Amino acid sequence: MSQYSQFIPLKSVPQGRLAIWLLIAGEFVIFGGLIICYLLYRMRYPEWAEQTKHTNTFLGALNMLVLLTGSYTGVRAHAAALNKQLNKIVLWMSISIICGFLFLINKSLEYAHEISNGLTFNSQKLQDAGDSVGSLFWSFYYIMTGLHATHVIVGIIVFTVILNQARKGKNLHRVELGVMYWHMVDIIWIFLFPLLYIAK
Amino acid sequence: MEDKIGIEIPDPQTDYHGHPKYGRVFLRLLLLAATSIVCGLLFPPAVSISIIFLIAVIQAGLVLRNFMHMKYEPLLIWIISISILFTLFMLFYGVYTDITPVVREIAK
Repeated sequence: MSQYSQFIPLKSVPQGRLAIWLLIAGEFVIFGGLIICYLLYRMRYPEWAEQTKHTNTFLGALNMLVLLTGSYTGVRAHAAALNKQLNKIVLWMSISIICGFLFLINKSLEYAHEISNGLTFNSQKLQDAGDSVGSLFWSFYYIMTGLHATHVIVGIIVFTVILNQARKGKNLHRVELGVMYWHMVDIIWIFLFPLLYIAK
Repeated sequence: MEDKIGIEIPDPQTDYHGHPKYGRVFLRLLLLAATSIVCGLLFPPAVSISIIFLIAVIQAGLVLRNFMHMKYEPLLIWIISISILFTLFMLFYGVYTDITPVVREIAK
């Protein structure tokens, strides 16, 4: 137990934090289920390794860097909120929002490249070639990364709303709650990145 | 709650946790990400998948413990987290035989 938690061994959690933890728990079940199914199918179909060669490791790694940077600037915004440094909150949260947009730009570049090569959701190109197993990989790929990108978009919207309030000095406690959501999005990418981009 | 100049400040209750050195945690996360990429290039797939998944677990732990301040959270949050892990563990074994061909091959 840490020096802080020994004073609050069973202290009730503030409502906002408890709500965000419950939301995060639900999200982990959704993505955890998808990742588990992906892993099991990967064990069943070793030929999926052939499909992962088409994913762009450089852009995936860049997205990892972008999301981790967004998380770091998020915690700096939280620290600034505790010290009521409004300008710093605006600065750090703006950088996080920019990171979110950079992630989406990279993702759309990736999607454009893959779709133009016929590697689509339930890929007709692969099915015509008799590779329905490979087609299944791309279904997983688009569901997992698409759902994750949707969460990044939600994160950007949440950050924009909180930033707008924090700029006026209102609801500064929400900075931490928004940042926790961002970390959740970051953790999901931490698992998606090696599975889809590195394990080739 | 507002202070003298009218700025709403966070409820002290929401900041019952400490603040680790975020810069160091960020650097560790970057190092681990780089390590997983190098492992993916150096080792054969069977080995690299295990290593990079382990690294991903360590990275997720760092974010949860330090950036999300989980190490300062009370027991209730830990109970929620452990129940999630248990749910995922059950899901894994629940669908394992449906997806993998192991049981069907034994039945043959």
